[in-house]
Amino acid sequence: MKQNKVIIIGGGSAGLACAIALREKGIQDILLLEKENELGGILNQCIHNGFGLHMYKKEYTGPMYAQHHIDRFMELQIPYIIDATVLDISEDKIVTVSEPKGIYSIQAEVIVLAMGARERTRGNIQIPGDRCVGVWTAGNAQKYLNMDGYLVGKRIFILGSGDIGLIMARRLSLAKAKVVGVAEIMPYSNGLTRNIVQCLHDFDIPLYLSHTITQIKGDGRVEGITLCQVDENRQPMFETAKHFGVDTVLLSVGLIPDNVLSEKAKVSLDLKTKGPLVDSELMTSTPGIFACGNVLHIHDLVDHVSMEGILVASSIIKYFEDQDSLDLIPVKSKGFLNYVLPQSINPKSDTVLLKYRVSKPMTKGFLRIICNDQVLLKIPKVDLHPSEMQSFNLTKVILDKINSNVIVELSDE
Amino acid sequence: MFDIIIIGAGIVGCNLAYQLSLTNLKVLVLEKNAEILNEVSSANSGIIHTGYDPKDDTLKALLNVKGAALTKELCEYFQVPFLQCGSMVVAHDDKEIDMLKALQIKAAQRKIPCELLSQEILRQKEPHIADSVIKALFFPTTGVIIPWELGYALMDNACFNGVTLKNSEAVIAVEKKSSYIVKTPKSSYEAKMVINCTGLYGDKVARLAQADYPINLIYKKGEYQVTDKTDASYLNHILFPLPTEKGKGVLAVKTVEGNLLFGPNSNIVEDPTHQDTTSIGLAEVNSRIHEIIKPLPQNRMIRQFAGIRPGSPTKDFIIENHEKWVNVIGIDSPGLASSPAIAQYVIEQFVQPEFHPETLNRELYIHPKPLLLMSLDERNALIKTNPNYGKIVCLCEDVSTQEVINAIHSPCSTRSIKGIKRRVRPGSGRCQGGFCESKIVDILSKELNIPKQQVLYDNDNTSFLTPMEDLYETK
Amino acid sequence: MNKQVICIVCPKGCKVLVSEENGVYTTTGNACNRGNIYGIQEAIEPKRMLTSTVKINGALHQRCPVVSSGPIKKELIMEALKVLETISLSAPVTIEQIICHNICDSGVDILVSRTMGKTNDL
Repeated sequence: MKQNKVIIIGGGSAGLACAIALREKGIQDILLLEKENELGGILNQCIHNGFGLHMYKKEYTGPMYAQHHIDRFMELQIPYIIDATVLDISEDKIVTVSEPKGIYSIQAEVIVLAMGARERTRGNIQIPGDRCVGVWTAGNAQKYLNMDGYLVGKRIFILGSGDIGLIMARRLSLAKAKVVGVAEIMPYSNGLTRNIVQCLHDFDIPLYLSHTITQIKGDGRVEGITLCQVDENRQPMFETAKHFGVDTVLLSVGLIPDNVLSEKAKVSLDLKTKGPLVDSELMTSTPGIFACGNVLHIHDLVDHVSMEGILVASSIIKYFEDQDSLDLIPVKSKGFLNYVLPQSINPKSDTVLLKYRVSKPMTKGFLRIICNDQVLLKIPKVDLHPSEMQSFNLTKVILDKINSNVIVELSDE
Repeated sequence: MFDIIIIGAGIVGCNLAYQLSLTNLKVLVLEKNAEILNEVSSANSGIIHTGYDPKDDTLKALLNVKGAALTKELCEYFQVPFLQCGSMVVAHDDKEIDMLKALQIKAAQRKIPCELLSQEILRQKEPHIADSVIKALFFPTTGVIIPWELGYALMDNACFNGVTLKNSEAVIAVEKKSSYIVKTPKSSYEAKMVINCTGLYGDKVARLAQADYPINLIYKKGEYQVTDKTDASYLNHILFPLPTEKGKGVLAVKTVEGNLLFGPNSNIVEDPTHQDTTSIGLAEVNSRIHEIIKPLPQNRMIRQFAGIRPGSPTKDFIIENHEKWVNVIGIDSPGLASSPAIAQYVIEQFVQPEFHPETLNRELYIHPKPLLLMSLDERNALIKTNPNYGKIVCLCEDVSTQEVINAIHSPCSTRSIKGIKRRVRPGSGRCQGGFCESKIVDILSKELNIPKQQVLYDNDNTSFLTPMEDLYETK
Repeated sequence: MNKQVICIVCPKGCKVLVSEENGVYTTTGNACNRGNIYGIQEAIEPKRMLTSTVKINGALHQRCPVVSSGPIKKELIMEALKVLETISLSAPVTIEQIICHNICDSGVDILVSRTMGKTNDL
């Protein structure tokens, strides 16, 4: 059987950053596997700008951001295979890959899960109606338009006001499609203000907050949708039904970390993040398997994805030096938090970057780090929004005080 | 001049085409959709019922028992999957236990193996069965197939043996002279005999030949939920509630591919062309399924669909011959399981007395086995012959580029995204085409030598792409 | 003249009221000076970055992503897109290569935003 010290699954932002950092730290035996026919991942189709503000203090487009990483990756001559689909990962870190040269297994010492995410579909959110052509996820329509140069429809309704939905509203308008409206089931938008302004206001596209699509109609092709207002439990109020004649519905209703392979490797998953449970070294429940990027949890900024890849590279170096497993300290979330990552602290970590998402928009709040019923830290926070991942660095000073279960709490007082 | 025209390439039409292709008769199949198996035959539970349910002395009873056995033989012959997972009909109270016992007697009379299971045993066999279930009648021989997998194998072989298949040709008029002239918008065709197996449109097509044809079909819509394959281990057998007048009820079945299928409910509808799901219907399925199975730990539904079944007023299959026009009508459940026997019945009753055909020895067209079901060595051998077998186009369902190409060029050819999805599964997994659909468009465009804007999603009016260069007035 | 502008400089999204009197612009509602600069620019002459794609032959994909070298007047965007559709590139192209100078007399160039090599099998 072939062997590799580190196998990285996925050549998107997370995988590339991790591979580059590993090589820069002197790890020679790396193999990166990419299922598409080129490196770069989903960034290649995100042709708009706004990437890299944190990492590079510049506003790159998606392909530019990817290109910088690809160029560095090539410069370092890191081995990789494109058109290489990983079919299986076993618990003992045997990776089975299919590519045009054959199908084979490789024994890895370390595996980095960097497979990214997939989009939630119509079936996931169960929109009833006809099974006609004209319903796509926003990312799929984006791929048709930006990579292949084809528009999927002329009159379009978008469900979901996350950034992908907003960006697509603008992109489609520029491609001369009529975006009839954008609906959001929550009472607030999940996109950045700048995208609301530049993607919706610029093109006079109405945003329907607290609304959802309750039916899609069409014989062969989508002909129209029914839009309903929702109550506070997000249930449609059918008496508010409005009808729109459109030929296309785009769904931008969230991403799901793509953990099919992780499950095959028997890696434990978090029901909230839908990604692997990791310690502060970003190591999963299977020693030697690490995770970074959207496969771990959904990010809103690619910069944070790259930084996670780099963090995993450092953790791998530590793992090679010392594989003794120490008792992990569980981290739990409390209050207005959707989740906190990592789910446990590894005593080996010198610092721990806590990442979290709030469960509702808050103009101000207080983050508390609690251990043994003692508040170790209380940090005031302003302008918190569920669509923006927050982070906080636990320094050595604080970590030294942590000896049992940690609670991360967000409250409004 | 054809000997026989088969109208409709659903599962009955496919079985007929295949069985007739083993004779010296000249056969034409006319299908109104761009793909065969596009309506009733593709939107059902895929279950090969053993035949305990139909009433005594009905065609359904006769043909279901026979058809189930034939289906199994056909699957073995064509090397398409038949998963004999067994089924359980469950009871919640004493009254239902009595009904199970009555069913047990009926099954014994029809020599269908079955066994009454105690609480303890049934929970061992099916740990996630609903708490309210207290007894179950176990039918070990019930199986499940991929309906279109068998259907395509039948039609591929029929075409391979010389049957002519015309897709996208709806029959709009029929003229009766000494023979039948069957007209479509594109052409007209002549045959000595016509077999009408047009499913949902059976009564209307019958009236093209016989204006006063008296039967009106009753349409029952059933809605389904499909789960992610990750939940495959949640269910071991097919679980049925007790059958009622409305049908077999909301059942749970694991497909051959490993998805769980919950449904169908059953509601009478007026319009057979409108196969839509409804919020009320899906809610009904979501709640009634819990009468037989415990709620899944996570909601991982990947798709909903509805199928319409053409029921006859007699509640039995209607198979009749009137001046060499054969109507095969009212083929609702257990139509899939009965279909090979229906075809056999039509041939024995009506074709043989008329034509006395010769039986020919035909070579088998081996339906390509999915890579998914092959060993690594088998796959490697194929990749050596063609690297496209190593290039995975659909990660969710493990489908290679070459399998898609093979489907496009198979004897009965496939030319739409939906057809490819049925034949080789890309798009039927958890991403629902999000990752692979544009790649399928590429392959279809290349293999059929058409621009992408002509690639069909489903039927002829369903191309969907506009090239960027057509958007701005630059010319 | 009064104009209401939503500031996009940071995620806060201040509602900035831009007022003009005798050629002097003032803003209210902005939490910081960056909002003042943005608000006035947006009120006088709104500009946007332009990103799109252009045709490319001999590359892995049929389109190549492009970006403007700086923000371009909003009113010129549709015209600029028309111009881009008349351009047809041939692989290889290199990131930041200029494919159109001073598009629509805007003073802004259009650059390709990735490198695309030549493929042999096309």
